[in-house]
Amino acid sequence: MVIKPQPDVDVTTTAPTEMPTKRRLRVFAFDPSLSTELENYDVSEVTVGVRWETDLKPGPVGEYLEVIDVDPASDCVYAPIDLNNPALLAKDGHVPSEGNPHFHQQMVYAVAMSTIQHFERSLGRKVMWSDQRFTVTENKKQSEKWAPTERLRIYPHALRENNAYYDSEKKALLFGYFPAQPAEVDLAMPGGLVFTCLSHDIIAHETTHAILDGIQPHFLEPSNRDVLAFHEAFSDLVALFQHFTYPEVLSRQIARARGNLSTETLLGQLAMQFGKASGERCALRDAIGEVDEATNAWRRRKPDPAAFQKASEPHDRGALFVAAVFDAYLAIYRHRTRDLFRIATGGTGVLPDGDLHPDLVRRLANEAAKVAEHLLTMSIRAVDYCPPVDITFGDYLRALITADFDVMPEDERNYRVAIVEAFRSWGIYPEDVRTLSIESLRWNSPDDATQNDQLKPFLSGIYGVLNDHDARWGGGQAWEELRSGVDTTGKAGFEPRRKLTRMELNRRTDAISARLHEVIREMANRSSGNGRTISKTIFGLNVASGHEADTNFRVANLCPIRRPHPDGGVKEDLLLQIVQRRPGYFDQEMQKTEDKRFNSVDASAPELRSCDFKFRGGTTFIIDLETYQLRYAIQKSIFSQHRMNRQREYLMALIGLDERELYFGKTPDSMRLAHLHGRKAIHE
Amino acid sequence: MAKNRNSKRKTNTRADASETAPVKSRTDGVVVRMFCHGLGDCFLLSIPDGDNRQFHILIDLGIAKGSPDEDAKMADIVEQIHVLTGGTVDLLVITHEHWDHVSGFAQAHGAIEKNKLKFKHLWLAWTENPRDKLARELRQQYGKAKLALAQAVAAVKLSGNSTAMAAVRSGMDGILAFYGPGDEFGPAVRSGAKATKTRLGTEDAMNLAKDLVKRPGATGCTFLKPGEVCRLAAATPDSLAGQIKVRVLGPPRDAKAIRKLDSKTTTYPKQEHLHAVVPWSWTMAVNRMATDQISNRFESDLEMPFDPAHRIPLKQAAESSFFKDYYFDGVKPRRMNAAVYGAAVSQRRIDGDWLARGAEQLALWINSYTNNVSLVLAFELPSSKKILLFVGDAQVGNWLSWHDLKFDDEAGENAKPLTATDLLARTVLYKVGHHGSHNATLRQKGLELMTHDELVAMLPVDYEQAQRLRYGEMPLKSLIKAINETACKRLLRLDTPWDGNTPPGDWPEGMIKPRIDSKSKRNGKAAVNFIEYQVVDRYSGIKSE
Repeated sequence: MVIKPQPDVDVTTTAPTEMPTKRRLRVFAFDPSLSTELENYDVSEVTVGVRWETDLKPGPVGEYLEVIDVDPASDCVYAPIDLNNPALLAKDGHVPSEGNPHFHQQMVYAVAMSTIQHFERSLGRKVMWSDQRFTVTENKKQSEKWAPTERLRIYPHALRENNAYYDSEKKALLFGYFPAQPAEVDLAMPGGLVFTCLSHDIIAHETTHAILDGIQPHFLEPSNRDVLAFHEAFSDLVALFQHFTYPEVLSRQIARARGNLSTETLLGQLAMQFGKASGERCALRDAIGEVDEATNAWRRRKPDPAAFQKASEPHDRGALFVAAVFDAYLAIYRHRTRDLFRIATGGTGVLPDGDLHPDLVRRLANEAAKVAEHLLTMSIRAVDYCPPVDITFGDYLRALITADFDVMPEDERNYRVAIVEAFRSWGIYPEDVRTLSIESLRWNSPDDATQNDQLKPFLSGIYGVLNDHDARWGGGQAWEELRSGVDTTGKAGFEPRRKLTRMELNRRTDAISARLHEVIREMANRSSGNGRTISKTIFGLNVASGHEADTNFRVANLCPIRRPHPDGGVKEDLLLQIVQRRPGYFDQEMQKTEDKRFNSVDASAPELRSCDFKFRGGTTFIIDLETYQLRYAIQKSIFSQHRMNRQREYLMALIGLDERELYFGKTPDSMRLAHLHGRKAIHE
Repeated sequence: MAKNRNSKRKTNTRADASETAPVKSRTDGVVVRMFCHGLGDCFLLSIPDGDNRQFHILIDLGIAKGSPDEDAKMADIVEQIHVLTGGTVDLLVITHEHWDHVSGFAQAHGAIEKNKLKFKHLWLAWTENPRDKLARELRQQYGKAKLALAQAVAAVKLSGNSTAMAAVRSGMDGILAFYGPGDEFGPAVRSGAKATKTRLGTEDAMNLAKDLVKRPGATGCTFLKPGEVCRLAAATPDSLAGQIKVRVLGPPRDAKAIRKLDSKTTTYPKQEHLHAVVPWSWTMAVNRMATDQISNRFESDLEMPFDPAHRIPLKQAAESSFFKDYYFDGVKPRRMNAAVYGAAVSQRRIDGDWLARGAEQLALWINSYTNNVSLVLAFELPSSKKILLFVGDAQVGNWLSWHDLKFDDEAGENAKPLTATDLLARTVLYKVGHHGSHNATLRQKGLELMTHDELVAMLPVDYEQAQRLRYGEMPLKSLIKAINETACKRLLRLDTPWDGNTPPGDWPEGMIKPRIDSKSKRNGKAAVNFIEYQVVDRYSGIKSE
């Protein structure tokens, strides 16, 4: 029989393939040090699923991040990794390795992306980076410019020192590497290279700095002793809670701790390898315990209510705050697992010796992960409920309570009680509440009766902008697109719609902000009787009083935020922040003169002179988009004498204390902030 | 505290004479002259030594780099010292090796020779002793650090002209100003390079000063350790000069304390090694850059984070489209202005960051280290037990270490040995450390313990010059305020001379008002004034309460 050649039929491309939703990438669960410990070897690495970016380029360079591996100290670069390489796709990326720079690139990308995803999941919107500000010299004239930052840059091998930081000028994360200098030779190999970009905690911490800076850009300005401490503490919290999202690691630690998380586990520690390689005996930070200097033994830290009042150094205050939140976490976990222990022990709640049953471990891990996820979500959502400037830990506590209330009006699981109790036992109180009850901690809604004539025109002005159909600036269409995230340009009837990119969304936010700015200005400057008017000093802001230069304000951070409705479904609120500043002086007399000028309604006031510091005021508005009711107006008044004095005292006490400043000038905010160091000095 | 110690030792004739004519009479106390030449230390102490003789002590002779008319001013000071002392300085004290404390020995070398000014003896800190093992170790490490810093300076100069690097360069220049002109570090570095420069550095000045006491008639050099009690080599043993005790407080004989530079800064970890300040891999990279040995670039491989196979040289990368588009040049959007886009792209690059940050830390470390090895002397007057405290530029570690010292030379009459707290409580003259910067005057364990009613502070600071060198807070405003409160505003600054007879502060009956004077034979800018203040050796009975 003769076989005739058949005409070839192409069968490979006919079936439609759905793109994957996740890209699986292998990373170190904590840092490389665990991979040489027999006990932890099998949990030393995990595989994380990061969002599938269709257009991911070598680098990796994606929608949010660009990993650029330049190492100027070594006078070289390392080739960018292509994660779409089939060889890598098939095996979840490179095998974790300290000696392979491509794995380093893969790990910073994967961990930073998972951190971004936690934020997007909690906030329900895209993460945006803060604008890049820079100076341009043209024709010998210097001018300040700013441009939106499309992608956060990551330099995995930027420095040769035991440090890593977020640089807000470069909009970049800079990671260092350094030879280990352990206090004892058994803690780390002396001289062995330690890479900060291989520490899960350090990557998550620094990425959080960058994300927080994108949401609240004024939180990098140290106007009181809590501002920088908050940045640190918040970044630590996010990094810590991220530990609980890896099920294998979690189960292993829970089995080892026999269900009791208040003991020494890897979960409550940050940057272990870094700490040990920098001469510590322990991790860089520990949210639950500390190592006794004398005995070298780990012990649970006890709350000291007086400590918070005494601590003035940012890292100290931040650490106390993290400890308080973690205490709340542990209390909730204990509360939620008590029944499981009773079931497992025939009602006694007393565990027999030996290992726990794997089923019990799995259930406990489940609970631990749930509580952690809830607290992480709350902590992130609370950032939207913060005043735009001059944050204190007390403000954040109130934001946390309010955010939680908005999601769960009934506190069925007593989360809020646990949080308040923990803050009280660590002595962290807001300064402006009468009692520590949940009702008084929650930001209060403005009283309609008293502010009605103020509120109505203000809100209807905002309504007007969002529902305007003026084509000159994009009108209500821009707002619709911002809300839905899809492009509706030129789409009359039904047509498939394209998703907007982050930069396109950014442009729409800018257009609406600009228009809103104009409208508020107009309303405030209009004399009564000619249409909508609002007070010249509405909500602690100066929008029209005195000299024109004093009334400058900026509409910042405008976006829709979503919360679950008690009756099911989702409700949408409008988040809107308005920020402004006025000059501050160290000299009391100069300040008095300036205050007098600022507070006078006389429009022909003199020009502003150069000042010693910028004093900022601002208000966060949260407005129900369905009913157009103002739910919260969280104010830091520009007229506040108390805050002005507090900031002056704080800044004056700092002058000259930094020897670096004596010779090298003022330290840029970002540098000082994100230093991973700092704890070290405290241990000393 | 000093009140009841107004002992009845024989201070005889001197005390009586002074009561009638306080300014003329120099017989009952120590005259301290602070030269007002600029940012730098230069103090002349004159103490009665018998009927017709004064014992003269010169503490430091220097001015900050780049001060106006610096050479002429230093020469003028030397001439004035010649007049004031009659040609012989009995004791020279050099607190530490910084240009603003020793420059005069180089700048006014000619004037010293021309006037045949003699120096009999020299006091230096134990850290200068070549035969001391600990001192040798410290100096060795210090030498390494200096070399690394010099290389970092060279590397910074090589690395482009961004605004960030300009700030670093200005800061490093400010610190290097302490090391004098020229190649920044004197012989240590210059020996490697070509020795063609004519300007002398700090180490040269030190050597010239040491040579002065090797001449015929001079008695050489003594190295002082903390805890020691010294006597002046006075001609008349029962004179005031013969009776004065000099207590040595610092520098500490403890390497850790010397490295404790600042109570707050976080950049100085507890390890003693230089590499705790900057990792060795950083130093090696700097070395590689500064010496620019291209052939060696990839030979010393351990400093490199990865195998050679992974490394693509930076120059080569500049040609690749990936690094061009994402790092070096970027891809300019059509609508954007090229200059604006260029500025935005270059701001995000990191070319010099690793270098700048390390160099800063290293420079600060070296600077503070030198300040911390300052010789600290407490001159104690025999009858009143008053103390004149000269701290050089000592920083925190040095100050703290005084409190570990116990002086028991008086144990016979006084059961308890003397502590630093006692000495500070008796201090009536405080030479403010390091031109009034923040961490050179300890608050709680320093200034706050200076409770004597007659406390006067002398502050050798020139604010304008400090600003020219771009030193931030020098002097520190809050420190000035604290000193003014402690010393009833009796703060004598060399940059704020007063008019006529009214020096700043309250000068109650019994204290001798300071005055401004000059023995200069020059005219114009180079003529230097001095502030003269006399501390009498008896308790004046002032009560401030």
